[in-house]
Order: sequence, then C-alpha cells, then structure tokens
Amino acid sequence: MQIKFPKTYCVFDFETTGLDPAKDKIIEIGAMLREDFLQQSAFSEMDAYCPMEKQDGMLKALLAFYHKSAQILKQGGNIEMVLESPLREKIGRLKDVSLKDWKNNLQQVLKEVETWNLQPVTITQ
Amino acid sequence: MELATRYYNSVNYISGPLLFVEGAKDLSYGALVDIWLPDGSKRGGQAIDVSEQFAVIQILEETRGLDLAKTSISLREHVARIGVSKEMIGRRFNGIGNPIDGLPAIVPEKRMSITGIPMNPTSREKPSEFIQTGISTIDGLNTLVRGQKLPIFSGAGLPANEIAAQIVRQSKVLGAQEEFAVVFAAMGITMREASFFIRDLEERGALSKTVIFLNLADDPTIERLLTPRCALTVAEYLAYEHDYQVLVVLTDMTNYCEALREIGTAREEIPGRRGYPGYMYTDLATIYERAGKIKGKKGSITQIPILTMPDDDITHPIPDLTGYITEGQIVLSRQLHRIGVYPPVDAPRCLSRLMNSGIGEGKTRADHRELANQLYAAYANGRDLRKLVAIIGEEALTDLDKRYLKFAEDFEKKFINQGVTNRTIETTLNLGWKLLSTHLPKSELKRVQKKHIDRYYGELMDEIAVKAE
Repeated sequence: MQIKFPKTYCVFDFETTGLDPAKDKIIEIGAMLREDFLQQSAFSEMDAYCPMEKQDGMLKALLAFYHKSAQILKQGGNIEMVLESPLREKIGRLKDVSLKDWKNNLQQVLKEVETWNLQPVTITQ
Repeated sequence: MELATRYYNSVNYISGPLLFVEGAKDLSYGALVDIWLPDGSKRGGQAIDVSEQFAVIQILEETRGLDLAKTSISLREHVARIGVSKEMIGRRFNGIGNPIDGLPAIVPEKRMSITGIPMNPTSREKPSEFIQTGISTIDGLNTLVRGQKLPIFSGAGLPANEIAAQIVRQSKVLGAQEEFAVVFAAMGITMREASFFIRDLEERGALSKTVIFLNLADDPTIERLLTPRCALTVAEYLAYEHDYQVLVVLTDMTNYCEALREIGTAREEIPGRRGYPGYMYTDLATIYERAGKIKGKKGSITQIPILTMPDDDITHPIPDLTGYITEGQIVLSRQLHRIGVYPPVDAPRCLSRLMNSGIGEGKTRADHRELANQLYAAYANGRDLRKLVAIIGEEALTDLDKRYLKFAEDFEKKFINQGVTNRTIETTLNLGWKLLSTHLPKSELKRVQKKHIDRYYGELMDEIAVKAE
C-alpha cells in the first residue's frame, strides 16, 4: 500500500483519547451476527431451513473474520479497512449458498479471511 | 302477511328516543314498527327490548309531537329487512334504504335481513387476487387483495376521503374483466364530504356502478347503526347472487361507534372502555366480517372502512378494536401531511395481513416480497437515525448512516409522495429499486437475494427518470 506524504506538514495535538486497538473491541461484528446469521427468511428457498453443518460454517467464518480484524487493528490498520472489506458481503451472502456448493464456498471464504493481511505501507515524498 | 293490523296503544313512558309500551310481549326483538302520531303521521322504530311487561321501542327519528295518550304502534315486520335488487346500482338511498334521488322506490327482487347470516367458516375462500390500487405504499408494501378488509386509520383533517376515492377510482385486478360494483355507505359525515365522493365518482364514470347510502351528520343517530348493515346486505346480494366484485367503502366508522355509545347510554347500559359499550367489539365484528369470498361463488366483497382516530391515538378503542378484526390497516401520518406529502401514509405502522397471498411470481413480480422487506428495513433504519441525529447531530454519523438518512428522505419524497397519480405495480417496484440503487451499496441489501440484485440494481435508473417524475 502506498501513502503519499508531503514534504512540509503541520502537526495538531488534540490531547484527546482515541481508539486503543489493543483494548477496544469491534462491535460491528454484533450487527453482522444479527443480520447475517440470526435473521432468516422463511420465504427464501435457500435460507428457510439451515442445516447444522451450514450454521457451524457460518459461525466459523464470522468468528475468523472477527479475530482477523482485531489483529489488523492491532497491527495499526484503521477501522475503515474492516468496515469496507469485501469479505463482509461475502460472509453476509453465505446464507443464500446452496448445500451443493456449501463446502467449496466456505473453504474459499475461510481462505480469504486467513490471507487477509495488513499490507506493508510505503511512504513516498 | 297478516290480515289484521294490530295496534298497541298503551305507551306508558317516553324517555329520549325510547318508548315503553305495555302489553306488547308478542313483538319480536329487533322488529321494525310504525309509530302513529296523533296527527296521523307515522315514524319508524325498532324494538330493542322485550319482556313480560314492557317492550322498548327505539324511535328512528325525532320524538317531537309524541304523546302518551294518543300514540300507537303497529308492527311493520318481525325482522329488519331491506329490499334488494340489481336496480339499486346507480341509485342513492338514505341510511335505511329509502330513495333520496327523486326516483321511485325500487321493486325488490327479495327482502333480506340486514343483519345477514355469518358465512360458514369452511366455505370461506382464501383471498389471493392482487388488486392494483395504483398507490405505491399500498401496492408495494401493504398489498390489498380481493376479499380483504383493509381500513384507513385517519386523523382529524387528514385526507382519508381523498385516498379512499383514489382507491375506488384506480383499483383494478390485472387481466380481469369482471363486473364490479361499489357500495358507498356514509355515516355521520358532512354534506361537503359526501358531495366530494359523489362528484369524484361521477367524474370518473363510476357513479353508474355505485349504490349510495347516505346517513349524513344531520340525519338521525339511530339510523346510523342500520346504515352499514343495509349497505353490506346489498353488497352480499350483488356479490354472492349476481357474481359482482364489490368494493364497499364505509365512512366514517368513528361516527358509527359514537352513535353506538350514544344509544347505549340512552338505554342506560353499563359503559365499557371510554364510555363505549362493552359489546362494541362484537358489534364491529358483525360489520367487518361481512367481507371475503365464498367457495364456488365468483363474486367477492372487499371492504375499505375509514375511521378517524380521536386525538390521533391508535390505542383509542375505535381503532384498537377495529385493528383486531380487520386484516391490517393503512395508517396516515400527520407529520407527513404537514410537509405536503400525499398520500401521507405512515408506512412503518401499516400492515396488510393478506399481502403474501397476493404477491410474487405470476401475480406481481418474483422480487416483490424481498424488495418490500428491504425498503421497509432501510426506511425504518432511516427513521431511527433521525432520532439519533436529534441527540448527537448529523456530523457524528458514519457515511453509511448518512446514506440511510438520505434514503429515508428520498423515499418519503418520491415513493410515498406520489400525488394523485396511478402507478402500475411495475413502476412501483422499479421505483423502489431505483431508490435503493441511488442511496445504498449492494452490500447493504441483505434482505434481497443476489439474483434479484443482479437483475434490478442500478439497471432502471434512467428508465424511471422518464416515467415516474
């Protein structure tokens, strides 16, 4: 990842407390749990009945995402990287995956979460 | 038919609209009677209480001129009935079925009891035909089906009459060409309101398909209790014996309930909640339940009652009890009305319990249910965020939250606020998609399947620009 840094800059020190990635938790995961896991549509062909295997997989993916995003914040990433990650939509759509495609789909998502890492930042001037 | 007419002369006591007659224990409960005055004129009345000693007759008109000595009563018929005929279509009647349009009385094909007979529950057919009202908040989010009873919960000054008139004017079942008729029953409304409806029906050529029963604000209160029943009897006759698709508009049920309270109080009955009689729920049910479809019969009765919530309070007995009986409600919002939205429908408080039977593939469109869910969820979220903004300010919201706020605003301005226009279901659904595509990213549309997003998201932006605006 490249960040362009100007030659002259000014520093503002606000003396406020900000997010401490080491201590603060991401609560957006709570919304994901509710909307992507708990909310189920009886009118949807795929989602009306969710077998144990699928439920287990969905939760695994959610938890993997949660732990990875906590790691990313600890390493210095910002919250937008987590909130705007395309993985969120992929996890959200797991409920509509058919049983036929389930194993493959889940494996793919879990792999993407695992390989999601903070890119080293290069600063140019 | 009896050969001799019996006159009951011992009127013992008159109190308000009630006459206490002695020696009339053969009178049937609910019988309609004629009350003969000393000057030879007669008034109508109904027996509302019979016992060994007294029969209590409720006079249907005013009591001036009655005296104890010379007033007498004769039986008209044992059961309150109204003569019905197909010829009633296009005619205008007063609250108990007497013509007021200057034309002669109808020749009845039969005389039917106005209380009707409850439908055999196992003969009821599940309503499932989509009615396109042309109003997006109804067609899109609270779909009306044929045979449903869907009231409009209004407030003082809100345009429920205009909306009902718009529904009557614009409603159609796609692809069907059957005979339809409208039965319009006015209870306690002003002449101005009644004229509005009549003129509206006339302008659209629907007057010739309408049976009108008018009990206006200055007509007798007691008559108000019979008006909806007369109207529904005619509706049942047209629907189940002549295969008409009947739309019944009852306005204003609040005046009906207040008449019920007034009479109940005059009869010194023990009052229930807020002074309304304890049996008001049952009484309303005997009106609202006269709707639907019967197995094996082609006709149907769809009811659109209108009521005015006193003080805009939905927990008031009238809307409260009505809501327990009817199959949903369309609630109007004063807030939206104030900012000029028409029709000012408060979408989150509305409901159509039969919606799912009338939408989807083959009826409206395959994406209908999910689109409605998504629009509702997004709008509700936007409304919640407004409360948050009132406390922490708009700047404190995330970008996504701000989009939801804008969505809610646009939804009110463009989806709800359609003016007096007639939108097809396609237009309504496409407009919904356009609003979602304009404000929210695909990843937020969690209530809709991917295949529908792929098909409709962002696709119809320009098309809609031409059609709806």
